[in-house]
Amino acid sequence: MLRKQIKYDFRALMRILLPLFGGVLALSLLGAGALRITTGMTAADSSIAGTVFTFVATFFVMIAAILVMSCTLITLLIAALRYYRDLTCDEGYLTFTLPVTPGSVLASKLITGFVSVLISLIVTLISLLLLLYIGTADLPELFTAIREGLSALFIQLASGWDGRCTLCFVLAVMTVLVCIVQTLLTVYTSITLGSKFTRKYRLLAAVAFYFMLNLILNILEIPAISLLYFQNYNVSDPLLVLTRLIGIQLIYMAVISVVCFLVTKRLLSKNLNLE
Amino acid sequence: MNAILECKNLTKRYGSFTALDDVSFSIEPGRIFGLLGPNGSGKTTLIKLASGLLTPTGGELLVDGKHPGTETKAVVSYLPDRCYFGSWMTVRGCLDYFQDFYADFDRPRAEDMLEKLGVQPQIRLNALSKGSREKVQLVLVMARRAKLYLLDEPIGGVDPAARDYILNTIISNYSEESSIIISTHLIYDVEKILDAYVFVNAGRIVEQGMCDTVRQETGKSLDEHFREVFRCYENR
Repeated sequence: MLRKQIKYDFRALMRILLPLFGGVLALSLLGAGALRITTGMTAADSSIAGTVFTFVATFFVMIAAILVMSCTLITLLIAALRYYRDLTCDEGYLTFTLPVTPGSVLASKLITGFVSVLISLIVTLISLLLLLYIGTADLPELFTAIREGLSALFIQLASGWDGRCTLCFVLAVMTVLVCIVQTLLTVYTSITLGSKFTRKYRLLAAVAFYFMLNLILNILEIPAISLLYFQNYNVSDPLLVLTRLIGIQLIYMAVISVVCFLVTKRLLSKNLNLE
Repeated sequence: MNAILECKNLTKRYGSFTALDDVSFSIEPGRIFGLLGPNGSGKTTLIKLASGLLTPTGGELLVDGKHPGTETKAVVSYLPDRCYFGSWMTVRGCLDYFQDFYADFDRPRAEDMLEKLGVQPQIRLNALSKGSREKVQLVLVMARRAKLYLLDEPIGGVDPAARDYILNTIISNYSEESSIIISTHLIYDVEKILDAYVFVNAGRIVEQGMCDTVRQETGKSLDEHFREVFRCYENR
């Protein structure tokens, strides 16, 4: 049943996200083209038409850059909106009369939201590379400088790379992934809490609960991390410091994710309030 | 024979408001049962408890001998008083959805009913009128071979011709091993298909019995009897 739920949740999400991702990629291509044209224009193009074109092209590049950078945020908002409509609005009458458990419903939302956010991150990366590579093609010295700088950084990293670096890298990647899960679950918990306490203003209540939850989690994070970290503080090894910090952050976010999942599942099972 | 639905001292409160207060009754398989009462009497709350959308505050509710959960949802077909499909879905998409999640869904029967309605499978729900959307939803619900059908205000908000269509669909598509609970305040239209009834007011059962018994003993229709009973309540 979970597989079927994921199928339909993906369909509902992708009908909105696929055009968004396609639009971001298309806009980044157009933005790259506009950037290339404006960087290629010389001082001799200082006619009124040239100035207007430069202005329009620059504005276009800015819009493309803003959309690319906010692609992941928009994806998160759409996933949240889908959760809100499927679980707290009229479509909730269908969702909760299916022969599936509330835990399964929540798991399906989490999986589809997580994969959608991952895809949005990949789309953002590709769009940035397109903007950079195509947009600066007429400024080869700029792109060469960036490429040489990155190569030098990788060479330096590779020369001192060992098992500890691998551990740090793996933990960092896991932290990013768990961060996505925690963000989604915090949003879902906020929406569920918001609908439990009010019907008329549930969206507003969800936003309020989200900020409140984040405030509480941020406040709890400081003593939690300090308690674990500062017991054996050793500044002589920066890599060890970084690895511990990332590891503790990972554990903290994982715990918060589990708590949010269990709380939301409980609310959906025992305190559903569709009307 | 075990009751398909059994309520024992069932109570549901929303904060300080009591929607259902110590309700007890049972429904045998093979009956069309009318859950009748004025607006706000607790009919929808009872339907939602039976469909697993709400949990009781007190007492017990059993569907086919089990507490509402995934097992009972597989044998209960629920029609709410609103459209619960996304308006962007096509009719074919809704058919696929029901076929995927409900093992008892009879797709050929649903497609046949939709064809008679003149609804094209590729059409989106937001392209249909409100009445047509409700009919599509009813077709999907009644095309399941469920043990218990819960229909919440199936004829509210539609024209008289549509009401006749809906009632005929209900009668012609349920099996005699199944039971149907119809919650409505439009008793005149629905009484011709009812076997049994319960009158609900302010969360309590006022009266229950068989429709034929009312007609034989009082010489009145169920609608007239309802008005008489609730007139007495208003005068108290």
